[in-house]
Amino acid sequence: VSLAYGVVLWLWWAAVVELLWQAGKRWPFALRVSAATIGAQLAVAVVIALLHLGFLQLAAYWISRVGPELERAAYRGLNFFNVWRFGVEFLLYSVIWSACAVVNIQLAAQRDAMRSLELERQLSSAHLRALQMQLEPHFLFNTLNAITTLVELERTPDALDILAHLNNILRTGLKRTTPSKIPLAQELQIVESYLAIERVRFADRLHIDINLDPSAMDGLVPCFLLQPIIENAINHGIAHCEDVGRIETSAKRVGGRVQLQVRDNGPGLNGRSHPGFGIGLNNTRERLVHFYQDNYELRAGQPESGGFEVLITIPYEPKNP
Amino acid sequence: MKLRTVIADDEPLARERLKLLLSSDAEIEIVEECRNGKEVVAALKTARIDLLFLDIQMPGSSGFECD
Repeated sequence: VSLAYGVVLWLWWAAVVELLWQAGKRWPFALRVSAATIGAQLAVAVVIALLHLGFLQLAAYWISRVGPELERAAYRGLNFFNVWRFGVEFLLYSVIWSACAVVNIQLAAQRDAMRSLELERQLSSAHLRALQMQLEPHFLFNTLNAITTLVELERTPDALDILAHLNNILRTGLKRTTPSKIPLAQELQIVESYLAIERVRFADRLHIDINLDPSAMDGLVPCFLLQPIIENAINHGIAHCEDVGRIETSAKRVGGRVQLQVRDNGPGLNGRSHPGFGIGLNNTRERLVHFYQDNYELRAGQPESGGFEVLITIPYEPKNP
Repeated sequence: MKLRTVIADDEPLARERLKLLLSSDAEIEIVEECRNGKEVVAALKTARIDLLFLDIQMPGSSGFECD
């Protein structure tokens, strides 16, 4: 019997919690802290407290009438409608509502945080993809033009050669999920393919010097890190050279860092007044920030010996640590 | 009489292409190929030219600057 009484007493509160929770889902404001909500909740608290007291009174009355002989007396004459009982009910409801509100607010905050994190992740990966794609179109266009010309000229071996190199570049660059980082060795393969294509365009006007430190080759670098810098060197440096254009590329490992250098003997900053110059470098900087925050170095400028030089230093991350 | 023609472009492949396109025209005779603005100016000074195919973006002086 006291069990039945307990059920009425406590199941009630379970039902109240559930109701509150559902109400909170339906009308989010029900579980938010504001003057209006608190006013409304006070009213609800009074109603709920009175209702509960009513039920308890009924239960006690019922037990005193039909319950076991021994316990009838204990429930007879109980009066639930007094200030003390009402106060307890009222307080209990307040506590329950506060607890629900706190949990609800915390859950909502957590949900918001997760949503904004997810959004941020999506944004930055979309951004990254856009940056990577910016490197492609005009180069692709030029290359297809070159292939057309070679075919027209019936220079089939050269055309096939360019197609193989283009294939090598696109295999990495146009994957549905372009890897964000690749080993330096693979990046240099892309660069070499790119240069092989440009060599057809410039013929004997282009001289290339690549200097590599084998211990840096397995280090990971952002995919297409060097390619746009070399593309810049060609389009803004070598393209303006009347004589032989030289590009020097070097990669070396210095302790825990990898140093990359691209240098050309073009007209230096004069050749870089062309609109569009700087987009490549800004892309590079943004991508470096994305991957390394401030743990990187990017310097670009005109060395004393003339031409243009880009220096990048990033942490050495071995492919298989 | 054939048109004495000069082709100016810094990219060898572009010159080849232009030559190929022009080769079908019996009236055109290519007398000189230039790789930059300087060579164009020199060519114009030394010979009589009827037709000039001039690239704009070239190292040294651009097509606009050849005067």
